[in-house]
Amino acid sequence: MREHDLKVSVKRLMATQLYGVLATQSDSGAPHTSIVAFVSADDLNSIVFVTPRNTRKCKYIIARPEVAFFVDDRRERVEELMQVVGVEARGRGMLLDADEYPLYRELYLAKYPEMTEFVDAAGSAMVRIAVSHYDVVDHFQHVVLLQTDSSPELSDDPQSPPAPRSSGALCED
Amino acid sequence: MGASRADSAIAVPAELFSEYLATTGLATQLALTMERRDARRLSLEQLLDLSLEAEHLFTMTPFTEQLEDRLIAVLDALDYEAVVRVRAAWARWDTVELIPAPRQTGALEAVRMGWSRVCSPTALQTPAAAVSIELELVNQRSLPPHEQEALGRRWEQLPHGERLEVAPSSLQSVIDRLADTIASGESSSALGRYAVFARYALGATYNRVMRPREPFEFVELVAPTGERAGELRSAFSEFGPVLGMHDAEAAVDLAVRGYVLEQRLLSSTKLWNSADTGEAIAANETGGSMRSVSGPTADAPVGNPAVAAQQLTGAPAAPGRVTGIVRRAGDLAADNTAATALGLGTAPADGAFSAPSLRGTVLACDRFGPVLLDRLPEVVAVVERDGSRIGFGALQARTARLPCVSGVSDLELLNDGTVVSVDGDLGLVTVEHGRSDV
Repeated sequence: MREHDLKVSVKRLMATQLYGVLATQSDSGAPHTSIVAFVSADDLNSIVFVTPRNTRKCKYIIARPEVAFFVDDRRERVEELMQVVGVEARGRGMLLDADEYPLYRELYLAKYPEMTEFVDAAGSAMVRIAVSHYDVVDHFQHVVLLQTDSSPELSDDPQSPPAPRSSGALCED
Repeated sequence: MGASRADSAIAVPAELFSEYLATTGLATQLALTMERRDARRLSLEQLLDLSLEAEHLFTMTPFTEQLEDRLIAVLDALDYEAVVRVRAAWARWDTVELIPAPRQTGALEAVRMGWSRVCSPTALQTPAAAVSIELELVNQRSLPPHEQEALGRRWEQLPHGERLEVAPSSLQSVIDRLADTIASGESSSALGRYAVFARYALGATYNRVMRPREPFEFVELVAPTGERAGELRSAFSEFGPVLGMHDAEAAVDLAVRGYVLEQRLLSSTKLWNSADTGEAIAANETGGSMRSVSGPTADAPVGNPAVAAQQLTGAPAAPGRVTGIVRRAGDLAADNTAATALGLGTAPADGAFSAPSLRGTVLACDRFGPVLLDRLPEVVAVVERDGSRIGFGALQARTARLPCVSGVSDLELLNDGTVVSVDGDLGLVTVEHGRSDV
């Protein structure tokens, strides 16, 4: 499979799905999953969602930024099993700072205009996952890895953009 | 002759087919089988492989009682011995197949067999919208002479306009063509094609007669790995005459002969001097997905570094599970430059190689062929991009008791030196991250 085709497939999935499952872990390593409404940047380097600051996922990300994020287009019919595409994104979650916030807010609200109030609420935080790679599953068991430009494996490449920031700083209100 | 054809032919209602698919769960099984691979991208032998698997699902899926009652009601309208006439309309041609249906139960099986033709090799290479199959129950006595002659014979249209008769009796003609191919010095690819045809024809017949639990059991007859081959052969021979097949054993012998001839010719040094080799080298220089191994260093990482394999799927071609280090090769069926790329040394005029060890490696190739036949004991598994469960590589692997996965999509993403586990029972090739201790 060519990189271009794979990226098109992942982009299509990320653009058409409203929800994904975020996997985080506590200080002690206890796993935690939650469903979130997300938006994916066109370069596939970032996944963004909004969450109240007092949620477990938000606290866990600050403590342990390594996260996984799963999106799929599962069907209700077994005979369509082979058509299902699932993508697991792996990367580091971070709460957006003031500089990044406006750009990603615009991106997010373009997909979820009805969530403006939630996004702008004082208790909400916008989280960006800097994605290092995707595992793309189709045809039930066929799994291919797609590295992003921000992948550590490509960080020595002079053509690659800088590695994503791994700051856990809270965004400015 | 008794009643006119119009009076004696009864159409099997199409809605019964839809009901059969829906009520038995066959529709789901077919979807899962057919969509595992893109039929439009399959090689010929993969097409035959997929057809054997899909048609076997019909064989193994009985009617519900309710559906059986309705079909029997249709059958009862016929006074005489029935024949199922299968009219298939394809994009390029139409066929009429006549399946003997000697008794009521036989007629029910014949109906199922007729419906299974929606998964025949011809149907699989035809756009789904252009496939149309209609079944009629016909009094055998009312068949016109030309149809009497065609009773029990089945033809499949293969790519490039070739037609293949699928019946035990036709195996002889396939093998004759195989022998002619060898005698005339035609390309080895033609030889391989006829040998695969012979195995397919045997498999289609064996599955119809024996109704085995899994559709590739017959491969054991051609490439035996143990005592079971004798049992299967004996059972197949016993069942043959009961179903009007007197030459079941001869069919097996012919398929085996085809395989032996294929192996003998492909193994011979003649290959290195044949026109085929030149063609293969030319093709090697102009394209092909695994061709990157033909570069100056076979050990250099290949493929796109942004995309890598995690777990690849294919057809489970030879059983067993093993872990090993990937060693890539080009099309080894007729390509000695691939041997060079593999680090096996060059092929000098005398054909003698100076070859490093392949011990513990998983051989990844477009299609397993003759170059490594002698080295097969060194490798731990074979994975092929273009092979199939009835292909030469699969049979070789079975004989050598090596796991084999064939028809692996995205195989070009596997780099030399990657540690993988090969599951020849499930058809999986899984990258073992962090392992280099194999």
